Amino acid sequence: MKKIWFCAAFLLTVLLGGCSADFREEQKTLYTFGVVLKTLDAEHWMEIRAGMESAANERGVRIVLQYPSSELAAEEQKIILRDMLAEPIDALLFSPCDSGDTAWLASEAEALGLPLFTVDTGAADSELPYIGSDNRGIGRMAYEYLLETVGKDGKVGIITGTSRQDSLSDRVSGFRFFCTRDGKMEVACMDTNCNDYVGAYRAACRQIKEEKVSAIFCTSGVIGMGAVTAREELGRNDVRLIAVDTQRDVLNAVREGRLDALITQSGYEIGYQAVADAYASLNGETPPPAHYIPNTLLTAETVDAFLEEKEAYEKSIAR
Amino acid sequence: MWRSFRIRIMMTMLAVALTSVGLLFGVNYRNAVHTLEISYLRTSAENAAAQTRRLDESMSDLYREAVRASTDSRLHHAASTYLALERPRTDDVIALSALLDEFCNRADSIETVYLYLPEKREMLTSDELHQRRTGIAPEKYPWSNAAEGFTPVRFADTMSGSAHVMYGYGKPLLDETGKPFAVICTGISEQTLRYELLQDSSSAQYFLLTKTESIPVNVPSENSGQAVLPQGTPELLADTDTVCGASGEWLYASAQAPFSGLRLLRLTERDSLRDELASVRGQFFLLLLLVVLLALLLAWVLGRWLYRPMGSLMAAMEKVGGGDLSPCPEPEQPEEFRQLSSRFNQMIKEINGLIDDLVNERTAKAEAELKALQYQIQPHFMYNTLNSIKYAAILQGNPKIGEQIGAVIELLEASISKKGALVTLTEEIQLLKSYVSLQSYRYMDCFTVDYDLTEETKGCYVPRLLLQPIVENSILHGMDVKRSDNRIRVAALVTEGSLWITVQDNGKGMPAEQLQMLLFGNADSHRQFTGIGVANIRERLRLYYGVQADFQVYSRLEEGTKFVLRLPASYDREEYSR
Repeated sequence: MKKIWFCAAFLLTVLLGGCSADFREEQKTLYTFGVVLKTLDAEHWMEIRAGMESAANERGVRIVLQYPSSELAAEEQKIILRDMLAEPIDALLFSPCDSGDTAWLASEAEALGLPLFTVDTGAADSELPYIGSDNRGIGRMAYEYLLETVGKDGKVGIITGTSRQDSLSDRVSGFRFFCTRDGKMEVACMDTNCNDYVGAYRAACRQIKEEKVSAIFCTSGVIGMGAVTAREELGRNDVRLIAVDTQRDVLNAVREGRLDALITQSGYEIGYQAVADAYASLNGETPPPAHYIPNTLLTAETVDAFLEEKEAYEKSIAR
Repeated sequence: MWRSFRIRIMMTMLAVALTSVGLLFGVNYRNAVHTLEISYLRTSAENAAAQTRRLDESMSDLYREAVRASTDSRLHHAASTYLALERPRTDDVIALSALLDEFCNRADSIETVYLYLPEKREMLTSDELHQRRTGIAPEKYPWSNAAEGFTPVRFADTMSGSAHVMYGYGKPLLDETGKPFAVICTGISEQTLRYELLQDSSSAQYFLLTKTESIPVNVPSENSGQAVLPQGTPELLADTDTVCGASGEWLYASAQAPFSGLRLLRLTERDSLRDELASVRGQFFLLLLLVVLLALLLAWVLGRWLYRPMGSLMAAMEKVGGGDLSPCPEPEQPEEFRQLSSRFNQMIKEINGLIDDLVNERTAKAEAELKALQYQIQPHFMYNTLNSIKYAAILQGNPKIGEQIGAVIELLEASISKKGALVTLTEEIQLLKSYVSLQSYRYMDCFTVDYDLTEETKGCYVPRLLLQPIVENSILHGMDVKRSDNRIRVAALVTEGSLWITVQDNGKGMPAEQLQMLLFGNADSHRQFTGIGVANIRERLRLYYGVQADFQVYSRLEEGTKFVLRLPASYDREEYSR
């Protein structure tokens, strides 16, 4: 009986002594992706980042994100890319500020055995997998809209940003291609390197007043807003304006009738698919040369429904 | 005490309850400790991850502004111009320093911007004093030769006289040929990082880990430097985003900043957490005490309930031990005790049967012997013949011989009579007197027998030939035939329903061994009259009267022997006859 009581007391002491075993919990990253965007000062790029982070969280991927001070800061981006190559990453996703200066990166990445992907903006001097909008298709959509609204024999102006970025140049080349092919519309004039609102405004004023265009194709939302201001100031609501982007201010301009049409692109989807494709390639799948994310043409009649969908989608993402 | 069945039941139940409760609470307590530690660690890990995210934002800002500044055309122009000056004036320094200050203001996290001109070994900063130092060796500021990557450089800033530790990113300014001519660095002080990282006032220790160093965070900066992590800190894997756990005496939580690669480690002593469980332990012991008291009470109640059927059985066994062979009542439940009681009663019944058989056998034997004796001797022939001899003796003038023959006739009649086993005390004394008469003649009156009977004793029934063997013993073994004052006293009285008979002599007495032999052994029967020994008297008393009769012998050497008989005072012959 004494032995039983001793054993019971001993057991109780051990249990109550709170002797806990060592343990460990860790969250291990499967892959690390380096991401270098063009900038992060616009809603579109923030959406791309959000999509990337969402896809990364789902797959146990860590994102190391950097970006230069502006979309035109190609030199900065180059320094960042070199530093990124020095980091222990498993894949590199980037949006080139200069589509014509990517060969060095492709070469160095290949030497390191590092998969390389372009996001939103393609590379002109190297063959790299691309995830983003079909920019030539955007050009076509803009052409078809203007043909329908302006009619054939219309005179169209183009306002675009730097030609060093494929995304913009592809939209222009796509638009021009169909104009030339069908011969139903004439590209009367084109202003390039209008990278901001002021430049676009001035270009639009000139095209409306001097070139007598009946429509303007703006290759980005900022450019489109500049053109809207020009049209309003000149009182020329007959001039059709179409732009490309999904920023809220531009969507509101469409809803208000200040901008006639907008070709949207989902930054979130672009970012999400970019990470998904990179992850798939690391798991043995061969990425397609180009993974196009669908675009939608919005007008005043359809923009509200689009905005509702967008808000609902953003809420579901936030949850 | 431990032999008691009831106590054993209680202690067993108490031990089971105590062990069960102890194990249950012990396991739950351990689970509580583990759950608390896990919960604490996960929260710590989340906090560490949030802190490192904030850290990374600061580092990211520093990095981007360093890159931006390194490509800034104005800075390129200003630095080139300054380099070309043989003897820069204060205005030149201020102008360049002001430009650096402009970069410094681009992000909140930048505290100081440095510009190093390796050709002049000169350093300028963005601080308000527009400091400028010459003769600076590149090794003094490792960021001047910084490798590519996102890991910040830790260095000591001695520009203001006292060194304070900074973290920063250095980027070269390249000339047209691509050769670096200056290096710009954006820096943040370690002290600022400490303020940013330390958000709680707990006793936890914080460390900032780089690839090569471990810097304590929550110590004054003048004491900062390389720190040795406490022994037992587990090795942290480089590719884990967050890790938390317990190792030895430490709880650790760590998160790595993805951009800068810096890792924040938080260490807490395990015991400090367990102190919070002291109240839980106290509650447990209180509960345990209550459970023990409850278990004791329950054990006592249940023990009594369980013991009840066994108690009845034990009482019945005690009765049997005392000679009462009546059956015990059988409990309905539990089944085991009912079976036990049933078996016990069956055993009692069999014992009763065996006793009956034994008594019947003995009685039959005695009757057989008697019959054998009786059939050997024709009583009437013997009586008539002896009577003839008696009267012949008397007629021939020998009344003494006639008297003796008369006594023999009485004794024979008493021995072989079929009248029954019990006779009155008067009849028994008469028989005794006949025997005494014969023995007196034989021993030439060397002894006398006195009789002292009270009135109420004379009608009591006693077993036949009860006193004769005792007196015979006194005559044969107690008396000294050389003396003439041998006395034997037979007395009887009734008191409290019992008949007390004493037979006492003043003879030689008996030693203890002889007394034992007398009471329990076979007597020297060949010298006796009936062959019934004194031992037989005890047995007959037991058979007839059970515990109601008693037979004691007291003897002292040279003083005499006293026999004391106690039996029920019965006036009904059939009351105790078998």
